[in-house]
Amino acid sequence: MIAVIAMRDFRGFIRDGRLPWLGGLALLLLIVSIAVGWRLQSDTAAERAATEEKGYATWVGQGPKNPHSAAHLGMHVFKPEPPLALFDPGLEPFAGQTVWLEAHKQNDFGFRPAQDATGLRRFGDLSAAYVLQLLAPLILVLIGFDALAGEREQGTLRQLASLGVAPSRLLWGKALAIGAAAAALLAPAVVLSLIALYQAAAVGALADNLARLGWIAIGYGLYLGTFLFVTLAVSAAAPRARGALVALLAIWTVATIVVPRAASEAAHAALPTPTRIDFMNALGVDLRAAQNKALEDNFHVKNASQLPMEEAPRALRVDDHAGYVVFDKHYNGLWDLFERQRHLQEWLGLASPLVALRGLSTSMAGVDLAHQRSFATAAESHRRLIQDTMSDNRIAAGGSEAYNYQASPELWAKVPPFRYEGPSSAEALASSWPNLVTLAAGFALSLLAAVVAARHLRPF
Amino acid sequence: MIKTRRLSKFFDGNHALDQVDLDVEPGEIYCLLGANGAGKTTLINILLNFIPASDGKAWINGLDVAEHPLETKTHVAYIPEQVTLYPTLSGVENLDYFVTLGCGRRFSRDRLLELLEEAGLDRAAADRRVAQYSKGMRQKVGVAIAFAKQAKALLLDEPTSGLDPKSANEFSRLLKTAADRGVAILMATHDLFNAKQTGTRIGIARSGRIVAEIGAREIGHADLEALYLDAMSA
Amino acid sequence: MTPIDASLRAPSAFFTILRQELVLLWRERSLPIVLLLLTAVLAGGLADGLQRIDQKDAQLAAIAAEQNKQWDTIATMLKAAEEAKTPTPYASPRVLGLSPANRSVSLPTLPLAPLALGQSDLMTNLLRISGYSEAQFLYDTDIENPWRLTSGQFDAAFVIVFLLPLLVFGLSYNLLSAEREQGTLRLLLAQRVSPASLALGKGAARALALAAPLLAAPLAALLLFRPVADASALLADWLLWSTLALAYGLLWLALAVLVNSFGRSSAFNALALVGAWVAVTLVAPITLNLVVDTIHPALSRAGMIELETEATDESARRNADLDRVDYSRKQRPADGAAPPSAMAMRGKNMQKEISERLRPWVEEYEARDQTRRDFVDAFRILSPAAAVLEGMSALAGTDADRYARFRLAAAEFFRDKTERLQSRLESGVLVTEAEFRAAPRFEWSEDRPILLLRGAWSLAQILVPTISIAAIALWRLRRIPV
Repeated sequence: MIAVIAMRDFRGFIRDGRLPWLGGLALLLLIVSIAVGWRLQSDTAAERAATEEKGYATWVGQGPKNPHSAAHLGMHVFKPEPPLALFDPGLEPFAGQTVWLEAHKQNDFGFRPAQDATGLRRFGDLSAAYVLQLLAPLILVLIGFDALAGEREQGTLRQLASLGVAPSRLLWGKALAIGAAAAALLAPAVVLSLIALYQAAAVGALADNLARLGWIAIGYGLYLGTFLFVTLAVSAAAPRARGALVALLAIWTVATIVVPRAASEAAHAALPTPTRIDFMNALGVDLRAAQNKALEDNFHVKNASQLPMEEAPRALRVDDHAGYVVFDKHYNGLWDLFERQRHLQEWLGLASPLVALRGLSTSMAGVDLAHQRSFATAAESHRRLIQDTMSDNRIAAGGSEAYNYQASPELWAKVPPFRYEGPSSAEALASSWPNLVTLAAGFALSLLAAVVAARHLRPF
Repeated sequence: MIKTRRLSKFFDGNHALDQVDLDVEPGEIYCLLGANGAGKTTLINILLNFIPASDGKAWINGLDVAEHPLETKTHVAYIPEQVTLYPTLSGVENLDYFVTLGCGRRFSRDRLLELLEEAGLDRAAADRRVAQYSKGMRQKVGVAIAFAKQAKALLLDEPTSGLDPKSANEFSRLLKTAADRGVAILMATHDLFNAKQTGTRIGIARSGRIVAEIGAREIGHADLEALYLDAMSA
Repeated sequence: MTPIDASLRAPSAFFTILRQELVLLWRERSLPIVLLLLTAVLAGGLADGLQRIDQKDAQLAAIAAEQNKQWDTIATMLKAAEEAKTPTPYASPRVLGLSPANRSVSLPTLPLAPLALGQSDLMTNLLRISGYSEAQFLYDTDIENPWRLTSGQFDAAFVIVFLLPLLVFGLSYNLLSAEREQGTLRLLLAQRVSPASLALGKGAARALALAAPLLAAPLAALLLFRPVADASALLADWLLWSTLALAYGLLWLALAVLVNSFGRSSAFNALALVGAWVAVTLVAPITLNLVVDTIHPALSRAGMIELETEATDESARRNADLDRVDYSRKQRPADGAAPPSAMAMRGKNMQKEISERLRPWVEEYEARDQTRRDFVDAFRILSPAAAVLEGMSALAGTDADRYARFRLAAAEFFRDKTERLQSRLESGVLVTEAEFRAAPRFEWSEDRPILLLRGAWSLAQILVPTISIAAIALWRLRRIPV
């Protein structure tokens, strides 16, 4: 009986043009977004790899040089774009994509791709995630708002009740029809993502990426399921189709447009990010203090100028190592702050499943803060490797020439090229399981609401 | 007062109205009898310029309704089958609004209450919200609008359907009072009894044509019924 | 029957309907609810904007104060040394370029900035001019959680662009269809009222109700919380900004009237309006973004990095012989001239060489950026949401255009500074206090006509569809299904 109801409704969606039109538009957007993401990703990845390689070649080919100057040339490394970023670019457009590994200081990430974009970028990026997060729930609402309220208005609900159709069967039939309509839209997206994944993922990483895609599918399934049952609950409770539609559109707007922004702004107002000036000043103060203390502890002098010339290489190393601790403190503090802001945002965003979904989706696609931080940490240790290699060489050479010492060209090749492997899907899940719980709870609540509303279904 | 010549309306090739010639003079109550789909409502819609005629012309008070859509409406009042009013407003507030729009000027509250009383709605009811009104009470507000406009022509669409016999009777009396004041009344109905009782002239419509026309006094009730059934089956 | 002057009737019908609509909307609660919501989200948006811009202003003020202090300190030291006729390291020509007082240039915020944050969270109002080249400007950003940038702002402009249309729909999706569905439309149109004047009266009631908080709240926020240096300029900006907001609101209202003129059900109207909203605010801008990225892609930053690495390496090789410290050299300059140290010369040379090498790239980047913005400026007419957001940001001084002009001005200052310094270092003539105080500083000069022009251009882009839709709606309203 459920299947019979579902079949009739499904035919209705097709006949009244809703599914072909809405679905066609969504499908078109999905395909375009995945295709664009695919092309963009392969282009960017190739270009970045080439640049990084050339940069390393320049580094190795520096010729005889003062190691200190060499450390100042440093090298630029790029965050590799994970294959699933073509599905959900997440923070990529707004997080720096490259970092300059330079002497003495930990640099911030530079080059946020959105900086190159026109003002339109602020409306969002066309990606499969964007379509599924914003438009797919809207399509569910538009297909399903009159599922029960419309039947009531037409009087067919009375008819069905008189035939002895139980409200719960009606509910499941409707859910099946709308779910099938949604699945018809999603299937091509999943297939395309799979193909793209096979193309983009490195051989060894395929299994891990499939696991990530699996979790993403579960997350989006719960998210869209929540909207499906909220739609049916409202449709069952609202006296008229018009009222159901207006209420559902209001819910959709609040959940997808208002709450995510409002939660983000409130979280950042409550836990403000320091300005660059404040951050750098605080860092500078600590850096000087730590370096002075290190100087005093190691050489018993108050000022570097009081040191004998031969001690300069060792002093530089002491100085740098004192700096590492301070950089760690401040940059970790900043990452921790970002993390706290995200947590607060997720708490404030409990009103909308989208906030939790974004957390899960970006984490599983490898484009969230945790992945960014993991890359930053790896890049910083590579910088320290460069710096220490240079310092050690100077110390080994003895300090008689002081700054004017020239290292032989073999030294540069002792620094290996930067290789980075991101966290595994298990690590990503470990940091984002609360989002999964939130999504599941939201889904369960919506299901409960729909069942209760169906139980109290009035046929007229 | 209400006049049509060769008035026709086609919907997708079907004749809703087919060359209707009609004259309703002041003081007359013309009852247009017909089954659903006979074209009664189409005729009223054209007279109110809600829809354009496909052919022919219609006049109210000598003014072509299509050429002077707004002016003709100062001369005509319309009471639909369901007088629907704004549920969040009281009877007198509803009347105030429609009358201001219909006459282009405000009436005093006392005058509005007087009009409602004339139409048979008592003062206590006038200040209640319309959401609580019965169909008959709402219809009385419709009549009060017509009174306030001092309309020369009155168009009624199934006014007595759904009214209890007492209210229907009261309503008929109101119409007669209006006709006595010289108002031309066109009433579309399928209630034979009411038509015979209220009307001065009766037209029988079928498939967009007026197939028979007869003075109400010239015919008995049984004869009218026979004539009607005859016209319907012809 | 009293004869009535026909000329007086139309306006009176209009005002009667307008008054009645306000009463009806108030009684059925939709007006108070929508007004409350609009006021609440506007207040939230204004608070967010004020908070963000205050933070920015505080940062700029702190920098300015610090730089002035350092400037003063150096000048005071120079003066003291001059008076005491003792040599000082501050008299070295390097001080003109390397003094901490010369580290960055800043772009002030405009009075309207809190109303539309635009690109202000992504672009920085502070550019470091101490780097090797102008390419540095393309790196500079403020510290920000990328989550916040991704989520977007909740400013007044967001409220107007995204939420205002939905609130307009809430009040007007069933403008005529509700009357038809409840049955009052027939009775209403049997009076001396044309469908057009009915729709106009109803539309005007909604427009008036929504315009009140839309005009008042931003003005109140500006007058209470922003410095008012030039009241007439502020009012002019606010007026243009508000006109943009109103025109955009009217666009959606006109669309609601148009949709209602088709005589379909209220549910259909709501569906159609939301569909249009999705198309205009969600789909069109991102599609346009995609088109501009395809037709005029931004210059690749990876390419810039490649070039930069190459230029730095080559320049370092060319100046390799200057990469040394002369430990026998006297630290203090003698009277008269101070020959620069090898390291200082190397730094200056490298700055000059690298910036010259990168300049064509930076110029091409900026030119491409300009092309991209011009393309968007022209084609955003396809999405009134994009047009209004850009116009509001332009008036608030937070659009990409103003930041690009700031970069160009900073680049010019940077080049002048490097050249001045280069020749001065070579000459080695010591710096005097008077000269130091008179040294050129970066001064941002606002191009108000451009801001107003950009705002007006957006307004024109909104008015074209608004007027067209209103005209079509009025034409359709000659007769409506009753």
